[in-house]
Amino acid sequence: MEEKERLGFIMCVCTGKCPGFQAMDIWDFINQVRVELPVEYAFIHPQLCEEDGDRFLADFLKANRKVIIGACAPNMQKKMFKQAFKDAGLDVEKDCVMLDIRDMTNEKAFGIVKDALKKLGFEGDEEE
Amino acid sequence: MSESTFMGVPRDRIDWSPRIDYTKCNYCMECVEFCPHQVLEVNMDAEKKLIVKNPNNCVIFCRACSKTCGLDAIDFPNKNETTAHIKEIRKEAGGNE
Repeated sequence: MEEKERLGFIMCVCTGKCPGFQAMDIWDFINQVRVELPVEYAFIHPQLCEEDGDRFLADFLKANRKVIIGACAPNMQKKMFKQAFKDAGLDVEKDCVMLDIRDMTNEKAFGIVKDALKKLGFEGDEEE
Repeated sequence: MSESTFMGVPRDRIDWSPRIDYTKCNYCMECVEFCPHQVLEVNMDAEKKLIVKNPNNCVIFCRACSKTCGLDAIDFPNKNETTAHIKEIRKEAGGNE
């Protein structure tokens, strides 16, 4: 497989007060994703669907790197981020992988991100 | 409710929750389907089939339910006013907990 550009992973935690992330240690989770999965980087954003989240995406998406967003329901993400991607000349459907990782343990959420990467051709266990 | 504070301010002192405009709402319940926090309650036998049952369960600054609403029947308080109010209370309490 030729070298593909890796994705960035953004975790959105709904201000950190969302009960949907109660079953998870978000810090352990994000570190696990950073360290163990084949992503370019991974970080936590407090609330992507808010105005400052829009402003952040406007800046961030200029890099044109595809992203995986771990957050709430994908249909909601689609609605909320569509414009930001469009403004950046991207398509939220093609340039973003939207995952719902609420109400999960770290292990389960990690598996979901890992599988999504695998589908895109990034195998986590066979790093050069 | 997992947390009872936001930026150190008691949640019940912050007025942030959806307001339903019953002249617009057609009870499609998309908002209820999205919100995982039991903020809204459905009662098909009542005159108002949808009410804001637990306003303090609402995630501060979240407006996701209103974004699901095709009819724009859900509104929220003004964010700047809410932010100013939070700062005010933080100042009262000594600012930096």
